[in-house]
Amino acid sequence: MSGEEKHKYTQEEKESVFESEFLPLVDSLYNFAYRLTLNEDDAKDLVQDTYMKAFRFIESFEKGTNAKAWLFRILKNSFINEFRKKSKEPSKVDYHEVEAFYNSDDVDEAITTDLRVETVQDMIGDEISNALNGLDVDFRTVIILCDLEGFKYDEMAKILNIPIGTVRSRLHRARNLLKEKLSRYAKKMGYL
Amino acid sequence: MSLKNDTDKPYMKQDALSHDDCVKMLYQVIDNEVCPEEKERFHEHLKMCMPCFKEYNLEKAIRNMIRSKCKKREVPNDLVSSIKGKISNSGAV
Ligand SMILES: [Zn+2]
Repeated sequence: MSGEEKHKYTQEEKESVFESEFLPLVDSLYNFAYRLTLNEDDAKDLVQDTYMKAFRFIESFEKGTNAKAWLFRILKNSFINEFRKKSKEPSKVDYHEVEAFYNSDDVDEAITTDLRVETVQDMIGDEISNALNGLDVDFRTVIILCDLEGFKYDEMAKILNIPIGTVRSRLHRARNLLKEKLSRYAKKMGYL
Repeated sequence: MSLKNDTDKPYMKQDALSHDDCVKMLYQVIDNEVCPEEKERFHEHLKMCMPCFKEYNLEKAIRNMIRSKCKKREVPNDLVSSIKGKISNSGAV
C-alpha cells in the first residue's frame, strides 16, 4: 500500500469509514477467506488480519471509492504473504497434468466436453462446490471473484495485481478446468 | 441508387462474428465485458451456430449453478465484536 496517495482523516472520520464502509462487508470477506483457506478458523484469522490492516492503512483508502475491491485486495495479499504456507489446503488430486496443460499460452481454444446443461442442472450443491474447491487456488480465486462476487475484470486486475489480459486468460483456464472436473464427475456417477 | 442505400445501412446481419471470434468472446459476453454492439453480433452468430449456442448455454448453466449452489457461509457470531475489540486494543480508537 506504500506509494499510494494518502488521505487525511480525523479520528472520527476513520471510525465512521470503518463502521459504515468496511464492517458491512464482513460477510463477503469471510466467505472469500473461507473459500481461499477452506478452514473456518483460518478464515476468521484472515478476516481479522484484513480489518486490522485496513484500519492501519486507512489513509490509503479514498472515501467513496470501491471499499470492497480495496478490502479484497488486502485480504488476498495477506493470504499470499502470511497465510498460504500454513493454511491447510486439501491434497491435490490428479489435476496437475491438466493444469500444466492449461498453463500453456494458447488459452483461446474451445474445450468441448460432453457435459450437457441438464446434467449440470441435476448436480447438487456439494458437487459444484467440491469441484470449485478442488481447483488450484489461483484458478479458484478468479471464479469466486467473478461469478460469486460479481467483480468486473478491471477490478479483479487490481485485487490480484495482474494485467487485465491475465485475468481474462486465467478465468478462461479456470472455467475449462472446472468443466473438466464436472465432466469427470458426471462420468463417474454415470450421468454421462 | 438503391445499391448504395443498402451499403449505407449501419448494421447488417452479415456483420455477425465468425465462429472463431465468437469462441474467444464467449466468456466476455457472459461476464458482461463487451459493448452492446459486440453482444448483439455475438447473439446474431449464436442463431446460426449450434456449437456456440450449446457452449453458451452450458457456461451459463454452470455459472448459475455456482451462484445458486455455493452457499454463503454464516459469519461466526463473535467475528465482528472481536474485530472491534482488536481495533480498540491496538490503541487506534
Ligand atoms: Zn460458432
